[in-house]
Amino acid sequence: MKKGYFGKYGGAFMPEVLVPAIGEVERTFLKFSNDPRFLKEMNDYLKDFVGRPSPLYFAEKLSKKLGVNVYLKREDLCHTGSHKLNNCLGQCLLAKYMGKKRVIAETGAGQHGVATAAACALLGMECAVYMGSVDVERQSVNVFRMQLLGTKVMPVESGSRTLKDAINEALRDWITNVETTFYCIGSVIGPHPYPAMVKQFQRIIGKETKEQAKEMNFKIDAMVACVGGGSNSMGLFADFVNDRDVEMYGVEAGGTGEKHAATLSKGRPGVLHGTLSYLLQDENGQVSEDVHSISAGLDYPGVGPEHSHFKDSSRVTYDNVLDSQAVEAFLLLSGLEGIMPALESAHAIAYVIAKKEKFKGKNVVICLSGRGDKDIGIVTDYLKGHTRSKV
Amino acid sequence: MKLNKSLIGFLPAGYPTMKASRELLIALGNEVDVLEVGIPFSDPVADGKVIQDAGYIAIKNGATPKGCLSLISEVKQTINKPIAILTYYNIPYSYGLKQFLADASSNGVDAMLIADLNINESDEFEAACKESGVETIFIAAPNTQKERAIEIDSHTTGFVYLLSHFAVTGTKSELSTLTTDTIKRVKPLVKNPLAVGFGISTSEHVRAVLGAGADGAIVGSAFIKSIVPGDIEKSKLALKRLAKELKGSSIK
Repeated sequence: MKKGYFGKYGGAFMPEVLVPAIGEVERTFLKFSNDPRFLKEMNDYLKDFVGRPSPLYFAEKLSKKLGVNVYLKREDLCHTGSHKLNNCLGQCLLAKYMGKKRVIAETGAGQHGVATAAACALLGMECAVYMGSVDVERQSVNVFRMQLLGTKVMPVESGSRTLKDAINEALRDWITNVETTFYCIGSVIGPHPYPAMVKQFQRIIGKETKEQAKEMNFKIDAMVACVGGGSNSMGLFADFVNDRDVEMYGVEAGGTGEKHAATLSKGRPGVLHGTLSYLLQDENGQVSEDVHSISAGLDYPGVGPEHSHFKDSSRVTYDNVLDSQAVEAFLLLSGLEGIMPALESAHAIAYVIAKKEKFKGKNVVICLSGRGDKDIGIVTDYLKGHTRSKV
Repeated sequence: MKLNKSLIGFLPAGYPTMKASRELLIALGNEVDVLEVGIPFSDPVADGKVIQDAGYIAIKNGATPKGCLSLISEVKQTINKPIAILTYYNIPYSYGLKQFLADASSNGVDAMLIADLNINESDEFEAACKESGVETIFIAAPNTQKERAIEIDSHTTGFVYLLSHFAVTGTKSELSTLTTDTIKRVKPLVKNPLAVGFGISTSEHVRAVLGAGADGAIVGSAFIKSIVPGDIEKSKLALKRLAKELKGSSIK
């Protein structure tokens, strides 16, 4: 297989000026990903700064209600409130080993931005985070969190002023400051080596899950995770890909039905942000501006190339749920289990609710990729405009 | 492509409208040695604000890849000068790479540059170019090392496009010594003509890059900025005036 490809997807479609930079990232990653000093430093931070391992929690009441044995992988309990910090620590530590003084990142909901800001504060690095001005407005608390952590938030006014445009602007910054700056990408997207590298830093989710299921003495029948760019799902799935008896489900944002972010279900292959993968685009190859999800973290027209490969090879089943289903799941888990999920993660829960007959009696692990405190305002506004249906 | 202290002028197709764009491209094409035409893409990561905004407006006003190619065909019939196109990979990929190059060729395109495609991923593009007779243009940058520059040149059949400095496209008030140093360093490494772009906007810039040994100077954002949307005649005059001014500084 060609370097940096997953089946026919992936690659590094980048302007020449960034080719030396991604080459340097790749070399450093390969050099240190098995280096004992790097791994020790990384593991110490994961334990004491992030708070790993995160629990695998049996959700007793939800299980009883659905007739499905539901286990929640509690990434919501990680420092900064989501799985994002696993990756940011890895990349920022690499950047430090490379001698870079400045880190840039993009963010949609703000989760990756906050995690990068925290990692940079920890490691004493300068940090700038690009964020679409629409997202700056709807996630103002996270903007303030990043600023408190010493990061410069750069509002992006171009295009649709959301996540995809934040990535465009971060890439432009990288082109301009390539010699001093490290670009910390937040998902399994972008040019090689990012999809492979981000998977490597996130696979601890699945590695822990495997050990924990063994300790808890149950066999996993299925795993379910939400897919935006696809980093929490890839992190959960990676160590199970060869376990053919474990079914895997990736849940995309079905939005309102008409407007959505269901790239794998409704897109076709194309090239965006350096990678060949499924893409939401019009018939002329212009990337869709109508991408929508109630969850800002899933609001992206592309998806990680390895997910495209898993779709074509049918190793993972991809489906989508609507905004309304995600909100119902958010409310149900909050009231029933005392756990408020991020709206992103609520998509995975909503899928299990919708398919409870299929999963009846089975042991299902759901990646609870983040906590929902950031989404309270969005859910409140949503409920003002809608009448709840029965789950 | 033959370049001899040439002025290469860039405008995005379809800006501000398809109809106006035809006249503007002809007006500019009559003045410059090579016309470079952008086929707008929704996410132009290598472009600064001027070209981004122009492309955005062009797309909103109906600049489809097919429409842009037939626009180029009309322009070509009038100006009869070499035309290079510049776009991003998803445009020809979505169109079908082979078909795109075949259509480009039959519409009068002589060479093509894809801003987000480097020689590590260009096999299919090069094969399609070879089949259609369209020449390839690849980019080299100030951080491109010697061996890489030689390799880039070996993939190139049109000209090597040298980035003047670390930046996205856009006007810059002064050129740094990085630009002239890079030209002097890269020029002896390449067999193809070498043209320099990004941030070239004044006759002093053109004189400096050609004086340092470049075979061509590429100007884009400055031409776009001279356009007055809604006033085609004024825009045509402004393009001509700027082109003549820049041209006057080339040292033939």
